[in-house]
Amino acid sequence: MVEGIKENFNFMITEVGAQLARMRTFISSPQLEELDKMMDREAYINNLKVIIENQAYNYIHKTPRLDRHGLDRVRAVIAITQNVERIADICIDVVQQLLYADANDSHLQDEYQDMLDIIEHSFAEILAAFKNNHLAQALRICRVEFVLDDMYKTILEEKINLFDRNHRQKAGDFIISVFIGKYLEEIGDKLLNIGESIIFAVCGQRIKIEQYNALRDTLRKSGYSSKFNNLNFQAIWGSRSGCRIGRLDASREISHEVQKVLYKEGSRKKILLEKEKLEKWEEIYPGLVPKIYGHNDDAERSSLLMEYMSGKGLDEIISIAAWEEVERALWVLCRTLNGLWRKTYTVGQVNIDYMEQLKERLGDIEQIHHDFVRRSALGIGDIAIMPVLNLIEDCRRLQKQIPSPFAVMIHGDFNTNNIIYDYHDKNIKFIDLHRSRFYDYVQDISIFIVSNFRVNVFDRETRLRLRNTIKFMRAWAGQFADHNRDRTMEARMALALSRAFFTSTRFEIDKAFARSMYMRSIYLMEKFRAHQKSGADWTEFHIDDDLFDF
Amino acid sequence: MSSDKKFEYESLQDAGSIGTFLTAITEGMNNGRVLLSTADEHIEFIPRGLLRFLVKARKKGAENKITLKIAWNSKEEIEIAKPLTVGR
Repeated sequence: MVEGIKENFNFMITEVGAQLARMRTFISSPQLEELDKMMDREAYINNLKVIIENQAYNYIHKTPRLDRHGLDRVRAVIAITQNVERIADICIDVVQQLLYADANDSHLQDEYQDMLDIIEHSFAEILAAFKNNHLAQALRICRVEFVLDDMYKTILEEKINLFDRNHRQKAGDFIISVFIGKYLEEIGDKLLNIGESIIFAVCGQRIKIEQYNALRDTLRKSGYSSKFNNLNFQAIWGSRSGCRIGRLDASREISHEVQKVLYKEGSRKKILLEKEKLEKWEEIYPGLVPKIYGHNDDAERSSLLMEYMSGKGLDEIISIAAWEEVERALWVLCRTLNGLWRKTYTVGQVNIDYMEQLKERLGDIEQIHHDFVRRSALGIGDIAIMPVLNLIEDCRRLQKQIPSPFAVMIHGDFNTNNIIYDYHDKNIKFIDLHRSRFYDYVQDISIFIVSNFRVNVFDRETRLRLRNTIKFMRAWAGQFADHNRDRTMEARMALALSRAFFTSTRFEIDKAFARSMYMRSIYLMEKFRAHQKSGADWTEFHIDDDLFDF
Repeated sequence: MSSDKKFEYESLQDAGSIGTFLTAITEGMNNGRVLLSTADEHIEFIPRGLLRFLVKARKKGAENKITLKIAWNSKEEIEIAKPLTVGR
């Protein structure tokens, strides 16, 4: 099967497995923050499902000689994905049910442990069963349905008996009616799915009914006709934020002028934050970010109508354009950064928090690579190798010694796919600015570098392009630092890169490649720590360029 | 029966640091005791008698690889693991 599907399918299963674990945590101690996180992941899971379906159907469509078995496997991927996504939905349903329960008098936490054990255990078998065509394992997964049915029956009978004894009245009718209600409610869910499938058949885009309504409202409020053409929705994989972005041709209500616009829809919090950031950027450095045409904020989910940018993502340019064109784009990028950072230069030291950023993501990293956060020390003869957690903690303490000498407005998520370059106008635009803030510019440089390194394409030509791009940016950053008398840039860069390499492993299933990034991260932290121990000055710290060879 | 004990450590190092690791192992060889430890256990290697020693190297384009391998059977373990049996 094609690499992309396999990777996303793995992510999907891992992510829903994590959602099951979160549901379990919520059942034993309901925390509202956990619910927020679950809702967030739910959006991401939905996105993944759409991507996998698209990739799978594309694959079927574009592979003329696909044999029967190959076809069956793709069909199975689609079916498994849909059902796994439904399991993720049910996790949310359960958690929302719990919000109705009396928190002070709830026995719920004990009641379902056995069922949850069985579910989690069986869920953990899915990937291996599918990967290895393991029939016995598949049958084990199927049998779980009957086990759960029996367990459910027992719990229901116990409850009815208990209720009868205590209240001397027919509790059975009451409880059963609740469940019938629940089933009827589920029929509603399915009807909704059917309706949405019809919309899909009509629009050719998978769009939920509330999204469809929101899109029409947003257009109307922004002075466009609510009729639109060429709607092209694609779940944006790069942003991983659970937002959906679509491009469409909208016509002005009065002038009927047709314009390409970008429509972005997501959770209220995220969209409002993005709007606020875009407005701030437009004020600070006009023309660098997309213009806002409209905004709709009726329900839990909000939407934005934005300028559609005709350029290409820098990631695409770096991997396919002629090298002169890439260099030109990089020059324009560095010139833009120079202008932006000079304009927003703010005097005064800023404490860096790269190690805190890393620590926050360790849980997610361990979900994918369980052995990366080594908690135990190792010894080779007399040489002690400290636990990774301690190494991070040491670096966290030491980073206080090297504050950034000044702050500038940074992008905050400076991946190459968040930078748009326009060939014709020779200008750069930034997108996805929800993490932008006044901070150390080294953060943006480091994310830029690692977003190049982590491209998982390994032919010589591509690696050379990526390496040269990194070299270009490193050289320019060195000049910028010199120019601004920033003497500790390389030392901060070590921690920033270390954070970026380590956290990037959570998006990389290829174990060998993930490990190579992980080892670079550990190397940088160890080097940083050894430098301090040697008593050398931070201004003498240096990172060798061959760290970026792969 | 002997238990299966494993140690694995992979990292990026400059040549100097690798020298330090090799010295630690060399010292162990000279002293007749190489100790590798994890949080859960110490694995003690007592190199005695004749040991197999393999040096393998390869240079292919930009790729370089040197493999060192030292392997042996400890005598006591063999004696314990394979007692003489007499069929009935």
